[in-house]
Amino acid sequence: MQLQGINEEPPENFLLKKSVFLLASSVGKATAEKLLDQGIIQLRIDASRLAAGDIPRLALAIEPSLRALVGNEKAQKLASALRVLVGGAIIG
Amino acid sequence: MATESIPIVRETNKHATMRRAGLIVGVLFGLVQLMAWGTQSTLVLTLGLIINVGLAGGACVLSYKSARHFDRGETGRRVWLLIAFMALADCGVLISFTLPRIIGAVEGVVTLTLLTSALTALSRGVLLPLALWMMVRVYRGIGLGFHLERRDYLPMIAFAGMGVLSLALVGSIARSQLYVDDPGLTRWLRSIGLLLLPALVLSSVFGVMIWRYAKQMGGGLVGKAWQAVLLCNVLWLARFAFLGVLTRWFGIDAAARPVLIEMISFWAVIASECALFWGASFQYEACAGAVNSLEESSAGPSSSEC
Repeated sequence: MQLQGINEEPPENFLLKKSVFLLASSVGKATAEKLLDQGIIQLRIDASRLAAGDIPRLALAIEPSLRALVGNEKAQKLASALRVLVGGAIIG
Repeated sequence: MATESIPIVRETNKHATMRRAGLIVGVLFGLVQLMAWGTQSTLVLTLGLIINVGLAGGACVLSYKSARHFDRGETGRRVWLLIAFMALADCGVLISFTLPRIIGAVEGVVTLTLLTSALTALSRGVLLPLALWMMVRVYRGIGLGFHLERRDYLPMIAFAGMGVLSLALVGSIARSQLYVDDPGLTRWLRSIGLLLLPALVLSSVFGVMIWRYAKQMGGGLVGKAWQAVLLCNVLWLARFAFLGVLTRWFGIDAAARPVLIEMISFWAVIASECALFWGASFQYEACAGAVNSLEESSAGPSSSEC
């Protein structure tokens, strides 16, 4: 299976989508979107200017909510994966 | 136009394999029972007991292990410990009902059967609504939107109706399930049933709320876990009400139950335990499984489930 056409998206949408994709298999797509939206509001980041550098703070902000749904260990794993796979992929 | 391709590796998912194995064993047993046309031989009863206790026991272990993934004081820990207790109570009631029939000592274990039935009533009538209420608070706490639709009131009323019906027919159910026909016991069960009534009504409200939340989550393992747990409880309660109605209004007693009804009752138990096992397995996978992206999980074996 191949996913194509990701580069057609604007970068900020790409970051958000990638974050949602990472969380969705555990907590569902709508929940992932909601948690990320809340994190963005909490950090007072402009969603349209979301950068790879914001992802670590965003991961930290949503970790408590993730912990309530999937437990401590998995929440930490998901937050780390967000920092590495989403934040790191763009910087690298 | 630049195009980026992401190769997806298909990984075997041991949790999905376990769920499939549970389902296949349950279906195969149902077919065996159908071919034997409900003959309650020792072999069929023993096989059924092993499968049911295996599923309920598996659900208990997985729920307990899921609970341990949450910190002490975290609501998720308490919720999954309650589900683990529910599965354990199911194990007890399944053993106390079936084992005496296998070894031919039904009359000798009435007290034990009553005790395990009381534990099941406690876990499903009181502890499960409590767990559902705690989960509603978790969902509200993380700010997940909740919109109850008009069509949600129908299952809510139906579920509450089944609960009320079960309590109203508790004497018939005692005769049908426990093989006990004692007016004193029936009065005592009715009194307990009245206390359980508010819990059962609340259970239907919280159950539909959790179902709606799970639907609104947009997939994911946690949503699937709760849908499976709710399905388990609906099947259990439906079977309970079904047998009560048959005994009370159609005069079909436990000893003279038609083969088809006996098989439907048995299948409902297996389906219910299978749903509980799936629910616990989904939550355990959500807590302990590797981090997968949505693309990977939809390419993997679990995509075909639910």
